[in-house]
Amino acid sequence: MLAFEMERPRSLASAAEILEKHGSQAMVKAGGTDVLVWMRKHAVHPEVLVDLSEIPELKGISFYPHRGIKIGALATVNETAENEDVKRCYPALRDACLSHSDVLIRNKATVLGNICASVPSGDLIPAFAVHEAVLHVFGPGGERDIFFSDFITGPRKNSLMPGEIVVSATLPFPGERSAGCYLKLARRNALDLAQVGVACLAVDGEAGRTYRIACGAVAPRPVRATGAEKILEGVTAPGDDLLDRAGKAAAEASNPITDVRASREYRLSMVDELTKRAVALCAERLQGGRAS
Amino acid sequence: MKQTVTKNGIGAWTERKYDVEKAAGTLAFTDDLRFGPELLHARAVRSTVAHGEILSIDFSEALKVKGVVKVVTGKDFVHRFGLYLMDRTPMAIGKVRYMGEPVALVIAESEEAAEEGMLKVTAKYRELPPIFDPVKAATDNSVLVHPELETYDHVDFITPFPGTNIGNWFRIRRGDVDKAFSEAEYIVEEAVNCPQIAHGFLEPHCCICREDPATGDLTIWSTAQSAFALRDIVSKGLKYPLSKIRVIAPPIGGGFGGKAGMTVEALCLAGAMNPDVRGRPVKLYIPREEVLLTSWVRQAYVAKIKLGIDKDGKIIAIRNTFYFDTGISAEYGANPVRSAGYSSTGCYYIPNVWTDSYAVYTNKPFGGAYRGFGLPELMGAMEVVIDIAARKVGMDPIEFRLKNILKPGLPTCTGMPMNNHALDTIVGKVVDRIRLNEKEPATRKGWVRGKGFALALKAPAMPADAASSAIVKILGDGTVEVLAATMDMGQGAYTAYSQMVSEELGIPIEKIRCPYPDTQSHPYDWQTVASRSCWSMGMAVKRAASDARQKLLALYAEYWQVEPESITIEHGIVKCRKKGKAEPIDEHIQSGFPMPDGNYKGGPVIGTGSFVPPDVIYPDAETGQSPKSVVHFTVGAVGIDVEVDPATGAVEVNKVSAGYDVGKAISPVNVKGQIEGGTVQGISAGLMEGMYYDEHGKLLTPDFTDYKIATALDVPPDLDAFWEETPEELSPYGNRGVGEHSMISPAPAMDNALFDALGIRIHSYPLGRERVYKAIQAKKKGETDLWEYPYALEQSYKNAIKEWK
Ligand SMILES: Cc1cc2nc3c(=O)[nH]c(=O)nc-3n(C[C@H](O)[C@H](O)[C@H](O)COP(=O)(O)OP(=O)(O)OC[C@H]3O[C@@H](n4cnc5c(N)ncnc54)[C@H](O)[C@@H]3O)c2cc1C
Repeated sequence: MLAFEMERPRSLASAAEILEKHGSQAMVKAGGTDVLVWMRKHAVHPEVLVDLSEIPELKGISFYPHRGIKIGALATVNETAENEDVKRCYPALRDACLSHSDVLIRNKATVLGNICASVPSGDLIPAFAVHEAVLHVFGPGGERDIFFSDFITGPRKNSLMPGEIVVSATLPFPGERSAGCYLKLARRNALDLAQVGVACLAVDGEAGRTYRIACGAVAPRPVRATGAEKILEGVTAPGDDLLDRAGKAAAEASNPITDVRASREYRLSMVDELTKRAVALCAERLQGGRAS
Repeated sequence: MKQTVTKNGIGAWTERKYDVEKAAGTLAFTDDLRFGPELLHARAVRSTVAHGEILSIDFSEALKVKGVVKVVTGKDFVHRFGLYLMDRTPMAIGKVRYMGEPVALVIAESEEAAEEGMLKVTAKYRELPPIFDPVKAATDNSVLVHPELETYDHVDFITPFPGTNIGNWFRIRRGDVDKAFSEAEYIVEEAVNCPQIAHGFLEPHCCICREDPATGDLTIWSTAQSAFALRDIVSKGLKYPLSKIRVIAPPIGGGFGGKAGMTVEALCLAGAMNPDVRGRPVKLYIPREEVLLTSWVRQAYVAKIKLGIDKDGKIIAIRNTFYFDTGISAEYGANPVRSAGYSSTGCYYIPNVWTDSYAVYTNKPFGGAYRGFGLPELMGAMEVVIDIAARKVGMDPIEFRLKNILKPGLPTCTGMPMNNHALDTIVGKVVDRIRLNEKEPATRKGWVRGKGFALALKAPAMPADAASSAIVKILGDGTVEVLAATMDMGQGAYTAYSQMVSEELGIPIEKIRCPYPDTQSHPYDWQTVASRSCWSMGMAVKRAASDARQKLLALYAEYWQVEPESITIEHGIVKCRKKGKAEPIDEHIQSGFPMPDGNYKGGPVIGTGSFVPPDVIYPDAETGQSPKSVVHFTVGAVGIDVEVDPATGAVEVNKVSAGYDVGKAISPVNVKGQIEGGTVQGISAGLMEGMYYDEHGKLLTPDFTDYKIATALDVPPDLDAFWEETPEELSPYGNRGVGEHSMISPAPAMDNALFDALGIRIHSYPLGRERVYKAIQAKKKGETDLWEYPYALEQSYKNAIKEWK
């Protein structure tokens, strides 16, 4: 790795100051499991790395009943997976965390680092999409919120402005009667990037059953399979026909590439398959009257 | 009468040497060695085209980087190296032959400066058309990877063909195949292919070289499996006396063949021997991303096998055509090609044999030694074709195999009689243990289950005169030092040698130590490869230990005035029951014994032992025939029980049973470890491993982001490793090689299991999820076979297949 300097500010304000001072020469580091690898491979060349790990405002996960869960920028993937409120109300997020890399990497990697890396195969992305998360950002222009649907703009691209730091993200409370899951397909059973990942959230609300479905690694941006969601709307026990249609609709919403990990054709077939499985799983979980 | 008693001799389950240091993290690997501020760091600049003339290399900007000391290029270090064929230069000279080939070496005061310098070197090329497909390269000479092939030195037992891309052509001509085919009731002709695969060792290559500016003496610290072979290759390449080269091989973090011979050391020497650098140690650490571009991997292959079978199911003829894709160098890869060739009837007796086994140059990173050495390639194809043939003949695949099995005494394809073995017993056990004959329902909802089987065989693949020697020193307190220049890279050689020495000396294993190799202190050993160490070095260690014992007994006999035969060594205590003597070994063994005649006798007791296989004869170049082509064959079998998710192509292994006839398990804990480890490595290779390139020859799987090997979660929960012990005649304790064998046949067993589960034959490794899914889809369309070819090369393969038909 080329030589670089690392700053470890103790407050958000001083982090912002450092970022402003160094402009495009600086990069933020949370867990570093992406950024250090990119530096090693000469994909990015920051002269200054701004390590967020000593900033207290970025730590922790808090749950606000009926409102949602707030995940701090420093919350690691393991911390999130083991959080009791996540276990109870956000199974898709928990599945996604547990599908991410392995235990060792998950101890370092952060959930928001995964989102900010904005790599199409990022495992947390589909879960953020179905939960319609909101990102809370601090930067030279002050604080602002970004809807997750507006956040990722392309592979490794997002709508953060220079100098901006994501402080936390809120995933709204999905409702008392909801079920979720994230299914990931990769080349082996651990430590691999998704060839395809599908998250599903099913909610029994006042207006009846709704589904949210998001697909990862199958397009430059996260895909919300709204066509599939519409097909399933109101159906509490979708049969094979409906599942087939939903799967096809999710595949239609996807536009994957062929690369060394998988071909476009395989990815499309797998979006279809995983969508069917994810929806069936959520429906089954709600069937028993059991929330989550 | 046996004069030694020990609890941890031959066949004992013991603790393993060096496990404590490894667990504690205190064992120093090459990268852990410290050389102080004298140390310089080197980094390779690599070609950006697959085939081209080098027009210019501009390193002026690199020299401006603070800390950069020197940049050397191929022209500054014109030496050819190679174990069997000297076709390799550490840096490209005049021409690059693969994308990623080193073209310059930046030497700097720090790793960071070397890296920054490396990024600032630019080279210009005039591109030449590359060739990537081995079948095309072998059959059409429009692109020559090595037009200078005829000028390269090589050993007598390989046959390069100048004017072509063939680095070695090994042949078997036995009997009359044409006649046998014309008489055959069934003809089966099938092909199987597999991409290059990588060893995946944990520790990347690392080397430090220093030249003494006053004497020219070279010291090399390196991640080397074979300190002496490395010294030989460097000596021949540089035309340097052996005595002026010292190789120190610290513990290595895995090798699997990838650190045999000479790997990165010449590249490091190009820096360390430069007149502007000489005197300072230069370190070359190969980053993970560059490992596969710097030294060899396992060769890709396309194997075509034709069998002629009579009406009773006896195989009467075989015609093999093996194209090994050796990339740009066959310096080492020439020999697995030979090894596959002289084993090319597998575990079967076939009277008429025609084999052409080719090492084919292409513009890719190069192939060489990898656990199994030609045999996973051979058996990966052969055991699949045998399965297909059995079904075509209408026989049960096990029955078909047993009918044609190479029984002890029957000739192999070179004419050499097969050694004793218990393969039929092993087959029976594997069949029982995975209940091969029972169709069982899948344990996962919606999945399908299948079972597969394959045989394995391998001989140590080495020159006829691969020798070993060892020294056993009994120290002044009765502890022992064994100098045996085998590299213990986890296979447990030092534990096995300690057990041998314990057996021969009656000294407990805790008192026996085996240090890592240093050519300055250790006596010669050819290489740690070929599953030869417990056999060949075992002979030397046994001889050295018996020599030490005889010296010890003679000294005590005179000291106590008894017959040497009346003395025993029991758990480190020297005893003479007749005289009522029992003394622990003490300083006398080192400083001499005050004998009754008043004189001191003895002095340090040092046992020595040497060994060379006495009777191996190279196969005839034209026919491949030889009365003793190899020292012995180890045989075995693997059975696999798998399940497939038809909707995704995911494969899970329920159970594996693998057994080998090891002759004698010297160190059972290590034999078990080798069988388990190799089985997992074989499953991994069969299920997911492959190196892929884009159409320009750029490696797309340089590191573990995309080069996937099995993790603990991909390994079967139930792995039954066992062995039989039919003793080998010429052997220290009846033992045969077993280190590589377990890697050979899990992949074809898996292929056969998938056929059993799915009813379609996959002819291309690896059997990854996407490929298995494709096969399932193809089956739905009525296909019976699935062929694919590595990635961008697919089209040329399709053409090649057409040409074959
Ligand atoms: C061995 C290994 C296995 C992996 N396996 C997986 C896997 O299975 N699935 C998967 O999705 N990923 C995987 N990854 C990638 C990586 O671990 C994840 O993307 C991880 O979640 C990133 O988090 P981090 O905290 O390490 O991010 P960092 O590397 O610190 O940062 C990533 C990017 O986000 C930016 N960033 C981080 N935090 C903020 C913030 N608060 N505000 C603004 N920008 C920010 C950084 O500048 C950088 O561009 C793997 C990585 C490795 C090394």
